[in-house]
Amino acid sequence: MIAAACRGMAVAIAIAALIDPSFPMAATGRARIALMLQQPQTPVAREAHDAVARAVRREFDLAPGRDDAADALVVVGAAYRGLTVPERQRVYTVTAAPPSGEPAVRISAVRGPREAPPATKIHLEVDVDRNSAATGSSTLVVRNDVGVELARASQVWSDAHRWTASLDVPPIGLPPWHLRAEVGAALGEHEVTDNAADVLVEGSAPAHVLVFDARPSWAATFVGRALEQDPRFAVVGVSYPSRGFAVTTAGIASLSGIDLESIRAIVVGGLDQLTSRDAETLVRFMRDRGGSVILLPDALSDLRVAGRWLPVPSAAEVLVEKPARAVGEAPLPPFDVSEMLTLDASSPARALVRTSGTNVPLITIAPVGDGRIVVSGALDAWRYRSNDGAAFDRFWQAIVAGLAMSSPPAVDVDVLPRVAAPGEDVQVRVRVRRSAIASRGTDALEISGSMTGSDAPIRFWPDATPDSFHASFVAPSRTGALRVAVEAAGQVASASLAIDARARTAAPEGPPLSLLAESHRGIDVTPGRIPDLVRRLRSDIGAPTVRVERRPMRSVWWMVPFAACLSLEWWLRRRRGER
Amino acid sequence: VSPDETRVHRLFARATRRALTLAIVEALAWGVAVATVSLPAGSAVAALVLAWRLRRAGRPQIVETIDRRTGAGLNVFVTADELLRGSLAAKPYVRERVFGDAARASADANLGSLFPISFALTALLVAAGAWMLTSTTFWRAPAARVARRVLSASSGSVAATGAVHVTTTTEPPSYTGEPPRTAVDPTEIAAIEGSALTVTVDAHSTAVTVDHDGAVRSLARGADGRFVDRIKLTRTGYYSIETTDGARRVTPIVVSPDALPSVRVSTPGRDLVFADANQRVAFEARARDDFGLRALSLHYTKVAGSGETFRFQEGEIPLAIARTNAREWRGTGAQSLADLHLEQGDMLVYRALAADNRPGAAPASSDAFFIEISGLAAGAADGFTIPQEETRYALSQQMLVVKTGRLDQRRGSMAAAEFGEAALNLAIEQRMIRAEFVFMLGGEIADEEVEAEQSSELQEGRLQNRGQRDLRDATVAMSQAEKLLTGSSTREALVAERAAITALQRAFARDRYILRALAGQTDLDPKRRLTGNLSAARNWRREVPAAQENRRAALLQDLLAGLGAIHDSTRSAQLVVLAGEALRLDPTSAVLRQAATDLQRIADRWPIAANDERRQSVAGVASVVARALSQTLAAAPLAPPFAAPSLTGAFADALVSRTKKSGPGGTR
Repeated sequence: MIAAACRGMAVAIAIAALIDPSFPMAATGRARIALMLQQPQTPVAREAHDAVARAVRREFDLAPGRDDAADALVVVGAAYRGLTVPERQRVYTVTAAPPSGEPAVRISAVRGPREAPPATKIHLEVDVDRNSAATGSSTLVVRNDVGVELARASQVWSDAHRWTASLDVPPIGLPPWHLRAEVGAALGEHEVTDNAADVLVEGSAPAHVLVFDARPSWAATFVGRALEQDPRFAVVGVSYPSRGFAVTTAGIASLSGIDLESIRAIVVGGLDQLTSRDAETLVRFMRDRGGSVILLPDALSDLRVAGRWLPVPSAAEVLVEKPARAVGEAPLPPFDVSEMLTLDASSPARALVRTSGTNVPLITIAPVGDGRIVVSGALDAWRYRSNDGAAFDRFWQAIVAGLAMSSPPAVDVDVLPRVAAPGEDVQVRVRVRRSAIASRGTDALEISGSMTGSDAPIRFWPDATPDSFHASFVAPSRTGALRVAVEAAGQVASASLAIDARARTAAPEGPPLSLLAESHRGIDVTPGRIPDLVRRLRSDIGAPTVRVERRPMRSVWWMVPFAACLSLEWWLRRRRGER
Repeated sequence: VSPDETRVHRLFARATRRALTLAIVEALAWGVAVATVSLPAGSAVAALVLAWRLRRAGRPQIVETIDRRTGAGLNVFVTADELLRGSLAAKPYVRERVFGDAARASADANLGSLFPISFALTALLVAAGAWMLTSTTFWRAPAARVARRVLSASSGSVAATGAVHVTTTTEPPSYTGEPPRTAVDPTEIAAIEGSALTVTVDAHSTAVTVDHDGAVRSLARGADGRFVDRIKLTRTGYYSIETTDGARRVTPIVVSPDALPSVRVSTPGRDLVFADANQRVAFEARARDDFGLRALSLHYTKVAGSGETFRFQEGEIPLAIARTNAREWRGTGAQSLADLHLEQGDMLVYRALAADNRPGAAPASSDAFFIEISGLAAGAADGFTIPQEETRYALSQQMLVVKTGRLDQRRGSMAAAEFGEAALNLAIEQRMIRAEFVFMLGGEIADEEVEAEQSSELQEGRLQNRGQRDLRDATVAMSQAEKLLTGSSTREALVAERAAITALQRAFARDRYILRALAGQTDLDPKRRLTGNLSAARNWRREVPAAQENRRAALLQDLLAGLGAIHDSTRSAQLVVLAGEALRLDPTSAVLRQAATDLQRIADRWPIAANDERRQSVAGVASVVARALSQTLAAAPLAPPFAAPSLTGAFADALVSRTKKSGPGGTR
């Protein structure tokens, strides 16, 4: 009887082990705390981050970086950097900022182009801020990624707290060009992490420009020649010297026969011979393509003809005996002109070039749809094209290059920041132009992204703006240049991303970090009050009750009764003389 | 207490003090030595050594050492110590005997040998050595000075393996009369075009390769053990030397061309118009040269004919030369115009020519002036409409100046009305002269072909372009003068008239426009006009010439990339390679020559320079090259004019639609 019971029990244990039944039940779990160290990672902030990690790890599950699903988020940094946190998540902050009385200068913004043609200076505008304790002078140096000094500017501080330095930086080597702006520490400044900022500028392919002359005109001819002799442009020309005859550079018969998608800017001359069909094409180019049109009238009457179909400003003709100086926005070089149209630059147009002294608008730009129209009132500037080291040529090369770069591609990909530290959050923004991909407004857009050296896809989310998407990922630990590739409706575009352990992103000082804690039911502490933070976490974030799945048969201790039953059963049988 | 006891007690006390002191000094010294690596480690080592030494600096250990080393034996010092400390009791005579023996033995005790200072001294030396090695600021500069001294002392015999030293002798062309110049290891070789350069290379290597402006060749060692090269300098460039043991030296060569002589006609030095050819004109020409003149002469071209059929005849007017010195000459002469058979309407263009001693050099020419024979004494004859006055300079701004000056002098003697009338007449005359120049500038031209011809002149060179600008300046000054004359302000008008003359002289200075009105009706040559058959017109495909890549920028970028790749362990030869690259890029650029010179200097100092100095020097050169690169690159494109094109476009559309609704007054 006992032997049978033992045998049955052993068999039951074996069967139960095979079935491996599960029993859901309630249990007390560990709360998860996300811990995030904001850029720039100052030594003080890093120490505070490590101290919080050590203190929190004993009682909570710690998730490094941002985690929207965590029970609470602890942010260590100097100021609020626009971080968005789910409303339900509690946020605690550790403000690790230098003492308020310490002198401090910092780079708060760097404005530069996303791409630049080869053999062209890169224009950077750098905002340098200082606090009241920082006096004397500051020097800003821009270097490349191997530390070669490329440009330098200095400022003696007076009353202003912001200095905007304009620098033309010569790029070295192959694109993308990694540039680093550094401002020298103020006297007595210890925290210099925010004294530097990185920029990444991609190289651009030659811009396709169409020079369209409804009849031969000096202005369009010489602007076209200036562009043709510049390898940064791929120029296509069409000119009609007589009715029915065309002089072209690419076998094109008319304006409507050109694939406007490949063109980024159109220079138009001989406006008095412009037809409504030409004008319609130009308007479509600006509105749908987002392209730039540059009108070069020879006289006021030309502009009036163009004004029938195109949004041109009102103008008055002026002739001066001595050539006047036309001065444009930086970096446009000044040039000479004696016969001119003074233009109305009231909103939404604005003046790009004015006459020196009289300050009258000469060249204006106005938005048209996604594109823009430029009207030149410098009628005979081409006469003085050899003055000042061919300033006329350089002017039009710079202006057309800028306008061409403003014309968006079919799929526009931007990465922020373009130079990131390993582990830093990277945002990707994509804008798709439906007209370029032959997709109707109601059609669904399929978009996918990937990064070189990574198999994981980048997941995109739609933005509030139509046909715009965003994504974010954590920068990989491997340093070097990467490319983020995006495919939308069969069109592929990409953007460069540099991973550098020393990467610094310029950011304005912004509101205090404590605001984030106050708005998310948390508290803000200094690095010296981390125990207070831990106490508060302990009281605010209770251990959650979790449903757990128990599988009792997976315990190794079942082997003991199993072996005991079998042994007893065997012993009893032997005792009875059975085998 | 007996004297012996006192003596023994003192011995023990002194020995203990010495042992303690030496232990502390030795411990501290070792600690200081290790502190060069790490301060905490130094403290730990000092503590350990002190603990170890203090174990042997206790009183019993010290007494035992004295007892063992003095040869007293039999534990006499140990016993004495125990008696002193009271740990051993003894009868007085025994005590006296022990202390007596110990006192005698202590006379032989030498604490210096018992507790030697050598261990502490060794530790101190090690500490000092460690700090000397790590604190480079104390010794590097003096060491560098010594090294330089040694190197410079041995430069004559090329003591250091791998060093290359150059002696250059520049011999200017013989016609200059300049003496030869010799330099040792020059940073730059400056010479006159055509100079002979002798380069003597002192090097230990078996062979030397030289590169002069891309021409590479090997030099053979001469009888005196040196390598010698001789070249003729014709243009700015570089000279590079490379030895088989890896030493390099690059030197920029700056060649200054022998300047052309400066020559001018000082008399008459202006244009003349004569009513007939019965004139004798005196001429004077002056010339100057930087090294010496060879010839000075006065040449003329007689121009006869009209319309598009001119005849030209060349000739020379003899000059008597007076030499102030070899470099400055003056020539004078006189010529009867009748002897040249000049007729009415003919013109004589004359200019002085001067040549220097340079073999095969073309002569320099002065500005050209002309003498015109005109019956009405009016150079432009029927081409101009001015008051018919029998004045030699009827049509000239200069004459107007003379007239205005005369009128101004008579201001006091004339009635106001009369003076005003005279000034007004001069204003009319000024307006007419200005009108002719405005016409000449093409003010009313509507024909595109004519305009094209005019624009081609602009393209041909800055000189012509400047001439047009000067003519325009002259017309502006004439306008000003006219206004002032109308207001009877003769004195101020004179200033404006003279400004107009200055501008005209600039405009006509060299590549002169020869203005001749047509004497009568002349047939034009159609072959010289732009004509064609329109029926043959057809579509045409224009080939766009390939745009030139900015090669200079690419080379400068390459040079900068090379400078960026230099680090502390780079070999100095690499710097010399970069110096050569800078010179090959553009030897005529002063900036690049300076960069090359600096790189060569840095390379020379590289082995003895501190890392900071190396980095700073290279960064300085890179900064200069970056500036040069910046000047070569195209201007940055215009920044995007609108931050959000879609929004601004929609805003513009809304504005336009509102303007249309509100009625007229729009921009079109």
